[in-house]
Parts: sequence; C-alpha cells; structure tokens
Amino acid sequence: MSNFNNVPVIDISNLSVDFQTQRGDVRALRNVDLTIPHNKTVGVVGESGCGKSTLINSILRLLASNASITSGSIRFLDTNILEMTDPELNDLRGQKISMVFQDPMTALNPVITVGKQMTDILFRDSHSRNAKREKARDMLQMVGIPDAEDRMNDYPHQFSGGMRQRICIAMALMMNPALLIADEPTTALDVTLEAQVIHLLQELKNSFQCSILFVSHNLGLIAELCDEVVVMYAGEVVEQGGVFDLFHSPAHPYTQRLLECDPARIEKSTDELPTISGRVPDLIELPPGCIFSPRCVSKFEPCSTQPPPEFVVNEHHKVRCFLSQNG
Amino acid sequence: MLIYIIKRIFLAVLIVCVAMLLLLSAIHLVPGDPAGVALGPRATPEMREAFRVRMGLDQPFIIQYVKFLANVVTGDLGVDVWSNKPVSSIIGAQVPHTLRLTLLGLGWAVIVGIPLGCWSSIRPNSWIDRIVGLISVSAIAVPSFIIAVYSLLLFTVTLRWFPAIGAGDKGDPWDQFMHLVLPSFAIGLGWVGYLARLVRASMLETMGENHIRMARAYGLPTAKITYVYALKLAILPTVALLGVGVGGLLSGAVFAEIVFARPGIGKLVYDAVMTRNYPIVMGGVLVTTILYAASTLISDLITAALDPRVRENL
Repeated sequence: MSNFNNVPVIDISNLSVDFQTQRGDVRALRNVDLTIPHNKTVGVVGESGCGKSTLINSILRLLASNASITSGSIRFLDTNILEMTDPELNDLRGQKISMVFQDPMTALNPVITVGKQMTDILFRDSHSRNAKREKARDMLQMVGIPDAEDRMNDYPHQFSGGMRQRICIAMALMMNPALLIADEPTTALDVTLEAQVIHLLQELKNSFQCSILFVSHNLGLIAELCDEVVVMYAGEVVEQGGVFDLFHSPAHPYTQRLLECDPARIEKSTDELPTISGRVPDLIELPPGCIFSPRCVSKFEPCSTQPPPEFVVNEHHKVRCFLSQNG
Repeated sequence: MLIYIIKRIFLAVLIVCVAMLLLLSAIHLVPGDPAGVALGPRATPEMREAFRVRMGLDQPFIIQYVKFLANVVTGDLGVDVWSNKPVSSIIGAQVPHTLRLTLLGLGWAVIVGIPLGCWSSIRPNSWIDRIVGLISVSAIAVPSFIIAVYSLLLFTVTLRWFPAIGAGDKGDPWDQFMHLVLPSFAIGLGWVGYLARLVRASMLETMGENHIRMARAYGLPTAKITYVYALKLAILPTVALLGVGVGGLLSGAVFAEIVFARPGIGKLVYDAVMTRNYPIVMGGVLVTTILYAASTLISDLITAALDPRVRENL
C-alpha cells in the first residue's frame, strides 16, 4: 500500500444516484464529491434521509435493485469501483473495504457461532482452519473480548450489545482493510459503551493504519474522532472541511443551525430544544435553487432561483452557499 | 437439553393419552351397539353379552380407558374381532408400509419443495419465481386423490412407467420402491407447493435482515450466503410446519393406500371402521397418534439443534 500513500483511499466525484419508485425518480444523491485521504478519518453528518446510507452502499456497490448510479465515479486507490466486475467487487468487499453496521444486535447471524462467522470472512485465505481461528482469537482479544478462545464458540445472543459491536469491529479488521466504513456504529449503544467503542476505533485506526469513513448524526463524536467533516443535506454535500475549521467557523447556514441544535452545545438551560423549522424537501421534485433555501433563515435573492456552486473558504474548506460568494 | 427431551417425551405421551381418551369417548358416543353391529341382527342377547364381556365393553368407561392404556404399555392391543389374531402383530405388519409411504411423501416435499423455494427467493418476481409460484399454488390447490387418479392414468395406464397397485415384491426393494413412487408423489405434491411457498417467504424475510447485508458486505460467496447463512434461519418455520405436517401426510396416506390398493395403516383402519372392528381402530389410531407425536418431537429437536437461542431457553 505504501505506493498509494499520496493517493486518496476513496475519491468520489460528481456521484449521483436515483431510486426508481412508483411516484417517480427519487434523486437520492446529487453531484457528491468526497475524498478520503490515506490514514484519515472522515466524518459524514446529516439528518436521516440525507443520503448517508446511499453513499455508503454506493461505495460497496450494495445498492438496492431499483437504484441506479446516473453519473460520477468512485475511485478506490487507482480503480473505479463503478466499473468493477462482480469478482473484483467481491475482492473489494470485506478485504479492502469493510464495514461496521449500525445495530450490533442484528448485524451478526444468530445461528452461527461468532468464531465461525469470523473465520468465514477469511474464505479467500488458504490457511488452515486452526490458523484462521488463531487469527480470529487474536482479533477478539485486540478489541477487548475476555476469554476470546472460549467465547469463539458462543453465539451472538450470548454477548451484550457493546461486546457485539466490538466483535463487528474485530470482523471488519480481519482482512486489514484500507478503508473501514462505520455506519453510525454507536447509535444503538448507551453513552458509556459509545465512548468505549469510539476509543477502540481510534486505537485500532492507529495500529491498523486504515482510513475510516465515520457516518453519524452525533456531532460530538465526529468532533472527537474525525479529521475532516462532510455535511450532507437532502442528497447533497453542502459543506466540507477540516473538523476544527468547520465546527468553529461553519459557513453554511445548515451547518450553523445543526451545531445550534446539538443539545451538548446548549449552554443555558431551556425547556425547548432548538430545531430547524420546515422539513427535508421531496427528492422527487427538487426546488429550483439551493436545496436548503426553503428552510434557510438567511436566504436572499439568488437562493431560490439558481443552485449555488461550490465556493472555496480556504484550501480544505468548501461550501455550497451564496453567502460565501465574496470570500 | 436432556431435561428438555424428557419433558417433550412426557408431553408426547400425554398427547397420545388424550387422543385415546377422545377416541374412546367417540366410540361410545357413536349410535349403535358394537356387539350388535359385529355379531349381526340374529345374535342372541347372550351372545352379545359374551361379546361385550370379551371386549371389556361391560365395564365403566374410565376402567376401559385405564385398562386400555395399561395394556398398551405392555404391548397388548387386544385381539382382532374376526380373526382373533393379536392386533399388535396385525398393525406391526402394516406400519412399515405407511411409514415408508409417509417418509417418501415427506422426501418429495423436502427434496423438491425447499430448493424450489430457495430458487424463487433468489430472484423474486423473476420468471422462475412466477412459474414456481404458479406450480406451487396449483399443487396446493389440487386434492391428493385427484393427483393419485390422474398420475395412475398417465404414468401407469398410458406410459406404463410405474406399477399400478400393491406394495411390490417383498424381497425386491427396487420393486417396492417403484410401487411407492406414485402414491408418495400423490400425497407429497401438495406439500412440495406448500414448502416452496413457505421457504420462499421466509428466505425473502431473512435475506432482508442486517446480518445478510453484512455477509454481502464481506463479499462472502452468494451460494454460502443463500444456503448457509440464510437457509439455516429460514428453514426454521419449515421444520416446525413439517412436524405438524406429518399428520397431514399420514391422513393423505389413507387416500393413497385406498386408491393404489396398498397395504398400510390407513387401509387397515378404513376397513376396520367399516366392520366396527374396534380393537383394530383403536390400535391403528394409537399408532398414528404416536407417529404424529414423534414427528412433532423430532421437529422440535431439529429446531433446537439449528437454533441456539431455542436451545438456551429449554
């Protein structure tokens, strides 16, 4: 992998995805650009339905059958994932890119032992069964499962939720992937477990030297774990930049409102949590101008008529908002 | 686990006892005196009384019941009213025929039905799925005796592929097998359709679950995902259904045995009911109930073997 240190692990450009439905085409992703540099953690944040899952599923080409990728490319190192054949894709999945799912309670097969599910991932290896089991045991120990050797023979329901997510992380790292996609890995866990899992991810990222795509709607976790942040709204990337930059000087009104709404940032005690008024637009009939304009408090003349292009705030910080037009 | 098996066996015995109680009361509630029917209108009251004493019909109901159960435990099912042969040996000779027929019917259902269900679930709404669906529903809808009659006409009368009636030559397993093909097909075909539909539905449900998405995200081979990761879960409702379904197959076997003039419990009990030969009826129903209870027990044990969550709660 050392040759690729300067090449981003994932380079998505101009990606658009439609879903064919009875009502018409849902334009779930539109012109998404996203880069995941080597050994960095990129956070994707946004409301439910903003296209986070579609983005992830596009990277692994696991989109539902009614989805079609209408434009763009997703480059993994030097190859375009969208042009890969099925065998190439299977080679990619789990081996070069792996994934930790949102709900550890349902992510593991309930009728197959944890050890078997882990060693099954190594089906491409020619190692002996014992060697594979040793590898699985080592991984379980690394993620902090006590008595790993014995517990390999246990079934998922015999583990707690936090333990199961640790197992999922261990599985994701079995093949030493270049990219780990974490899809809201702590949403289903309580707060103490959440912190543990985040620390575990941080630790493992350093020892495994992999990039992480961390999807969450928890801004605090993103701030803690990520190097860069991508803010998505209704299928578009509205702002992206370094984590410090973006959280301290958010340029897009949506990002600003999102940060205001984070309960952890509210200083005065209040009976009413702030919300963003209005709702996410229908993705079948898009508004003509800026996608956020119907809900935006600072909208002005061009916003409702033409979509904003990407403005550069600084080298890493980009935003799609006319407010940033003049620098 | 052992405690669970013991509990389940106890339950199975209970089921058999209750079934016998129901059967015995049914016999008592049926109008007509068994002795009168058995001996004919010209029998003297003394002959009838002697018959009643011989069959234990003079005793109170509950005593008859307890006695019957006690005899069953010792393997004594009474004697045939007509031939005076022990019922246990008469039934014992017929059980293997029915058992073979039922198991082969089950075999059709499992060997054809489950793969059909898997196929149609791999690509839902494809033309394979639609054709399989159409055939399955037709197979469920057509009564087994119609299939029996028409398969006889087609494969035996017209094509002459299979023998028509009987159980085949005793010493010739191949001949016996050939005699089983059509009857078992007749009773099993409906179940082929049933299983195909059920397996399809539960496969589709399982395929949508998160752990299958995860297995896909790990690039596991499709065959492994379908036949190991998904089927091991999706088969559970089928196993439960089959446990009960053996009961249906057993009653289907009655038809098949009559249409194909095969020996077996069904035909034996049918003839015995016609001649009010109560010991045979009781014995036949007892054996059928035991088979039924055993099959539900086996299906529960298979479920426990497949699903660790079930195993744990035992």
